[in-house]
Amino acid sequence: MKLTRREVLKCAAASSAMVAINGSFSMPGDAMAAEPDKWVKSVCRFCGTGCGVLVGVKDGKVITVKGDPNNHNQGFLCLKGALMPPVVYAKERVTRPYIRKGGVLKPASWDEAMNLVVSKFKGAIKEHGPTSVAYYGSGQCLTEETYLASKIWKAGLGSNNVEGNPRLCMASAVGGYVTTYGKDEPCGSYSDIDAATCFFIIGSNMSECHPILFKRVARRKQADPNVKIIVVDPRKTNTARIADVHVPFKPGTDLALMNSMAYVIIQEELDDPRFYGRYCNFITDWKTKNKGTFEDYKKFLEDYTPEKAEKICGVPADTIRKIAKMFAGASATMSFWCMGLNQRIRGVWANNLVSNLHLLTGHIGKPGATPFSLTGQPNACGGVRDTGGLCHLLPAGRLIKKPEHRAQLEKQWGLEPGTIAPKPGLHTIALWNAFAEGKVKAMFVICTNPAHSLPNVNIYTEGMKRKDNFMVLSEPFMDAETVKYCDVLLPPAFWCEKRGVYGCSERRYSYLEQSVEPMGECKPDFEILMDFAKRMGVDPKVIPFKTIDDVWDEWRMVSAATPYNFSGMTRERQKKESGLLWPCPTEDHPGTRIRYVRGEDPNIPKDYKNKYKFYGKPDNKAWIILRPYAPAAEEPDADYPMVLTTGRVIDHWHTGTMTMKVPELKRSFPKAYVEVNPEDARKKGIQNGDNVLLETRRDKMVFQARVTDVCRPGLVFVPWYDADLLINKLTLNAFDKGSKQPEYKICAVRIEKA
Amino acid sequence: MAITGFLIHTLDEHVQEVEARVNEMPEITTYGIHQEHFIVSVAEVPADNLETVMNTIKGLDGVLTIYTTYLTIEDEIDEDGNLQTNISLTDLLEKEPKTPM
Repeated sequence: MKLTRREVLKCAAASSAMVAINGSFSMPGDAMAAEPDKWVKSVCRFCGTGCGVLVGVKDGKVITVKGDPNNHNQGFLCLKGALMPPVVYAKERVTRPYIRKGGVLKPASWDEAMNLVVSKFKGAIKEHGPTSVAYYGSGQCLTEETYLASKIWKAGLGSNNVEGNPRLCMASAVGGYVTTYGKDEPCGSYSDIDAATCFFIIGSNMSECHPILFKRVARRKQADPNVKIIVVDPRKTNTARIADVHVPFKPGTDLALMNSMAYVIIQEELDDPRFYGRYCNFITDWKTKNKGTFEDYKKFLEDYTPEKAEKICGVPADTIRKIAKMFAGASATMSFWCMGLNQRIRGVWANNLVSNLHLLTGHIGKPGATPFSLTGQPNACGGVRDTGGLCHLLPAGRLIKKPEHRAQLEKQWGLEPGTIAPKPGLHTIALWNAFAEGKVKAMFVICTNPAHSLPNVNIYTEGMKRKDNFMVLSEPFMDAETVKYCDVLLPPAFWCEKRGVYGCSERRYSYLEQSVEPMGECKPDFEILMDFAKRMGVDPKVIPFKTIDDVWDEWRMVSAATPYNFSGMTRERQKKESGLLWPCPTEDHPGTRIRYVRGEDPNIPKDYKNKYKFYGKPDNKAWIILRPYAPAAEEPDADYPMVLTTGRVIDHWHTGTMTMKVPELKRSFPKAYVEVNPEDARKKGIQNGDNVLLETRRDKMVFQARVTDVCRPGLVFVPWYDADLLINKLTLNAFDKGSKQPEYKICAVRIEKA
Repeated sequence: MAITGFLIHTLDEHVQEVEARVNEMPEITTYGIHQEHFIVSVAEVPADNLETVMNTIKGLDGVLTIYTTYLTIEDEIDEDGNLQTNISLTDLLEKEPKTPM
């Protein structure tokens, strides 16, 4: 049989779909012969789901992407992932260095650019000390890149000003896990989806933000109609449309709602005293860490009877009772949450309260029963959280403020005691405030777009314009908002043009093999950082790396003595496997799906006396923390009577620098808009398509209206991807005192027909 | 012209009907029903028409969602690596299931 070229490609396309459902497809011989020159194992560049992909390369060019059937996504991809090839070859790619001269970016050589960068950083350190320089990275950098940058700054330059955009998206999840369990990162894994009988989805629009995981949830529901889905979200999102119960609560009142659920669970005797009696402490006062009793908890919850909570949350008491019973009464409940809980000034508390429900009911550590935070970026977990790429962290969950942790790292790194400064650096908002005030003089930004993504962003873009500070930016796309403000622009190798590791939401580390050569003069950020460090005169002992693989091996070594333990994830093994879940202590260890459980978690001896061991806490007990309801930082009032919230749409990701390169994605959501409830629209005389003025205490802007019942009355929603309609000019930079994560999700706004 | 591999996820009781309707669409080739609710399909559609075609599939009774698994743009990249045509694909993931699950 002789096939045409198009028939061959169609066979390949059908084959990939078949493989995704574990079927087989007999490719005709001609089709097999005409496959791309090679398929290269990699990971999707977008969200924190971490879908495995196979990159098809022909004649040195990326021509296709298909799902990796051996990774957790079983070959499925959402459209964004499938559309990566045109992004790689976008005309906006930065392919050579630039230096700003006379207000304009002008082409420069690598030497000219790096010499200028180094002179500025050296000058800042000489005149103002090491804390005047900073690194601002990304949950999209490779694990090795963030580990290296953090080490260069903290051990090489003496500055703990190491931050990154994960502070904006998942710091509250870290705070929640650490305070409840003593260790960061989820207890369970994606495989729990296939065993859960109830899903509690709160503050997450999975169908648009994590579509492949949502597919797995939907498939579970379809396989067993008895599976229940509860969606708690002020918006009737696409996720909510498949829910058995959708709870459109008043924004910001979910703490009261979850406390009320706990009240009902106890009243109905659906709690699991055998579990929490043995494995939990009740913390009645967070400041003193006072350990109370179950009776203290019961008394605390009396303020949250369903009737009282109804008045706070705007949710009928019977609905609260219903979802509490569904949560507790299921054989295995899995919770998902994301930015709706994290991007709040009580984000850590909200995270704690989800865990409280699981600990109260014993829905933890069993297949299908787990709290599970979703992550927004492909390597926020594996890159930044785990390697310690934030201002208060050191690798593998160690803290800068703890002398013993600094000493451990100094010893492992072969450095003199006292090399790492004892004072944590500035967190993201404080760091950009300091940059705007001219206190931080030199900033190295990699793979993120802060001029678009920071809240209340006008403050920070004004700061970026200052003549007495300096920002170098490594950014693949010339049209990223931050390019407007940088002093030096460096061209990084993009995604498939370099190799390294991404660690996704479920503790799965997957290897991205290099598929093609970098475009133009682009270099991997590993090389850029090494070049910078050498030119800065950083102690060679800090950067003993010839290749990025050496960084990975050191990271394995550094993790080995901790519960993270990546020792078994050798490069050779990573190349063969489609991801491994840590802890993975030995080369024959299969990875860990469930933590804190004897027989599952390699950190627990097989002969340990109890089934569970929450080893992050001194007495091995998780904490049920009594967290009261507290209002948002900026509640609606007479002047600004409505709530503004922001988020993603399915076709665009983050600041749109990649997805807006794909014409059809751009056409389907060409510009940001405002969702207005019909009731609010009627009061304001707003029709679908009208221009609407949104005004907060920070700025005002006009958006086109979408009159829809997605938002509950009193709430408006604007997606944040659009650089031409920067909603972050209106958002609030108040932040959680614990996690330092800003409250993007709630601020007061008034709207008028424009 | 892009070629896209995808799965149409249907309610079990509608799968035959959906397959029949999709087979009436000249731009789509189907490769059978699998696991009682997946229709393996390939779209081969002129750039500006694919969105319409996909919206038509999404609008069929019993269609829950569409999952992409493959996209090739081999024909759209020239020797210099520049895109020659706009890739015209709408989001293939169904946004509003027409029938409650």
